Amino acid sequence: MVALDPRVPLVLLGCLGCLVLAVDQTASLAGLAGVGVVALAGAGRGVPWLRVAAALAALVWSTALSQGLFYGDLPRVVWVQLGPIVLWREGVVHGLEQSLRFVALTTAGAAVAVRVPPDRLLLGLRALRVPGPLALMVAAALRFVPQVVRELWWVRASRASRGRAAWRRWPHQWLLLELELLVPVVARSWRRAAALAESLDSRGYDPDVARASWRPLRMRPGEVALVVGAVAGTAVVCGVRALFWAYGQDLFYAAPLRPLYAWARAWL
Amino acid sequence: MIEAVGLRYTYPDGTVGLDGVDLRVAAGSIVWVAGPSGGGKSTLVRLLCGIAGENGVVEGHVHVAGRPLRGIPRAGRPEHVGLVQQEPADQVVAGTIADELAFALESSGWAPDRVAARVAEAIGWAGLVVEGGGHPTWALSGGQVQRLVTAAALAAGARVLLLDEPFAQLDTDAIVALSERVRAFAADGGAVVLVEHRAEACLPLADRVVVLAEGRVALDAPSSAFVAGSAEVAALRRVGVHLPGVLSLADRAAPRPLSACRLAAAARPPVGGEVPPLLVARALTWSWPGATRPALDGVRLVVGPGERVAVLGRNGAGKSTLLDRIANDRAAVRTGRLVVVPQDPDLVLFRRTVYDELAYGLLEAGWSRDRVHARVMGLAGLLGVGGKLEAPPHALSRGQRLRVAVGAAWASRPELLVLDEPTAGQDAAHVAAMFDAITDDLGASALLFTTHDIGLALVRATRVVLLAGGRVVYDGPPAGATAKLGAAGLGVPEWVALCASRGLPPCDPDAVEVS
Repeated sequence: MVALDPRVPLVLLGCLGCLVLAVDQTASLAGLAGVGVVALAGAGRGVPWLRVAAALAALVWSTALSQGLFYGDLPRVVWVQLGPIVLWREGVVHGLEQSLRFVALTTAGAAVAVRVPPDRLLLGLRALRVPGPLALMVAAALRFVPQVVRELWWVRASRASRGRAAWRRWPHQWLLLELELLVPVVARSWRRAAALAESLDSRGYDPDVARASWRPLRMRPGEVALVVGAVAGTAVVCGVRALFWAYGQDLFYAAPLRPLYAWARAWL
Repeated sequence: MIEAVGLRYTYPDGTVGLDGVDLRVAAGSIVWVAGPSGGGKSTLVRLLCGIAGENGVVEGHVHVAGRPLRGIPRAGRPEHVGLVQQEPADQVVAGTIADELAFALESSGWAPDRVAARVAEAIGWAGLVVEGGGHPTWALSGGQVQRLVTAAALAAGARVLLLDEPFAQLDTDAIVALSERVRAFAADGGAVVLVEHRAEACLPLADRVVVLAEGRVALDAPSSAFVAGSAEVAALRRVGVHLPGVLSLADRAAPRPLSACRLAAAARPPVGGEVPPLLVARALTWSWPGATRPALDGVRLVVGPGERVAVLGRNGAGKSTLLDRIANDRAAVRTGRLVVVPQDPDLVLFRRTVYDELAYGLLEAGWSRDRVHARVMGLAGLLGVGGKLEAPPHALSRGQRLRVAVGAAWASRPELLVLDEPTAGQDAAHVAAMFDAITDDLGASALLFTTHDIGLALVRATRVVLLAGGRVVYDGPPAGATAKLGAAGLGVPEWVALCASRGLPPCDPDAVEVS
């Protein structure tokens, strides 16, 4: 991804964001989550695979389970019943949908954060007409994501080595301690952000002024095709989704579009 | 070249960071700004670059080449002043060496062909020709990153270079390489302000020493005045700056016998016997993902109770990887209960106040409140944070945070305390106090630490492990390590060579008196 024009991964990330919002079907969302995971796998360097996989699996499992247990909307169908404990099928599906959306976006975002250098990211965002201060904020935030994850592990390990295990406490103590663990990570991120900001400042960077670039962005034909294809595909999916929504709301119906409605019902 | 007049900085909470500092650095001059942690050194260099005044109140004036700094537009400042701060890796914004060097030039609106020519020149200056402009910045060693950010700060043609602790995380060779470039820059008419704790590296480099303490200039003298027994050295010691290099400098000028040499070996406890070791790593091999060679290659390390083991090596030798594996590789490394303090102290400070941080491990161990209080007060006094007990740990200076992190780790009574670069950014007095606090109370526990400070390792450790290319090239008593430093790519400090030339083992230079 380093060799790509930085606008390409950004546009692809934007398309993925639109798609995960447009799609509701679990299988399709699983496919989009798969795209994100593959992108992250391609990023390679320094990604702690086992931990990432374990964290994502735990996230999907816990979200699906909690939604399955506490789902309140109707209609709902009992999926599993163990005495008074009921697992609602619609709740599990809803939980899966939400967690898969999260997985798709976080993994794809992490892939961009890991592989696109912050200066190229900044250039790409500015080329996409994102306002300077916002572009800087996004570039800096994405740059820090992998480090923040690593630091969170460090903090937890450090706390564990200095005292009793966290779970051997009353729940409110455990919760307070968990919240306190965020303090070092936030403080470190703040310091790092300040160092980066001062570094940019001392090198004459002004977010409100257009920067020159000694390596202007130029998309290769293949990249242009990829971006056009992704944007067009996303536009088509979102358009079909809008038509299907209009049909569902009795706002618009066209008989020739029935195969499209059927496709949208099955996949979107 | 750069002049500060009546510089005063007040933090938003009313604390005065700088109090009327006057400083003039002429072209061709290197000024070493020394002083205790929290004395205002970093604030000074930031103000000299015009970037620290966002949140506080700045009074006074800074002129660069006769022009007021405030009158120079932001985009044009890189052509006048270059700044390199602490933690160089945090300042890298680009993915490749060439892009990093070009960043300031792009800000200043240089034409692409001019940028390309200057980038090629800067790559040569930084000594990164072998790597080339397309080399990823994340794959550089600590010394290379430091040279890169320094070159990036100067790329736009700045004639004033401001360096904030550039040597803190560098090995001896990397310090020499950077020093040569700084000296060449000054010889070419540049002005350098160097903030640093490592006196042995700065004194030979600088031609003037300015000491900042409590935001004021406590001393301003030529570096040639800092010889053993001088009033200048005494003044430095009063503010916590010690000068081991002074001994050899003085000795060269007028050879005099050394006396009262406190031998570190005398305090070393016996090790071994039937006592089970606290750390066992046999044939430890580890490669980072994507690396072409292993970071650790068959490392064997056994640490017993009462030992103080120093791990030395150049940047990239595998020191931090070794500590990482000790902390995380339960399959390959067997240890007693250990606590690790990483290079970055922020990652281990999670309580609301310094007191709570120091008390955490003791309370967890079931100590009574009274015992905890007594222990915390004693520890805080030893670590020089007695006046900061109610402050949030993250509001302290870096040196103070590091000492609190070490104190908190030690207070939790681990069997093995592991410290990664505990001297970075610390003045000598606080390093000495910190090690005294641990050593005096070590008992059946053990200490394992990495450092670039060879003198500290030779004096404070009972055993030295030298790493080179991920392998152990020496593991034995400090006295024998001196002869093996070259095998690990490390130079011998001047004062150590001096001791050796007189048939003495390495000693604590601060305890040596020249009679």
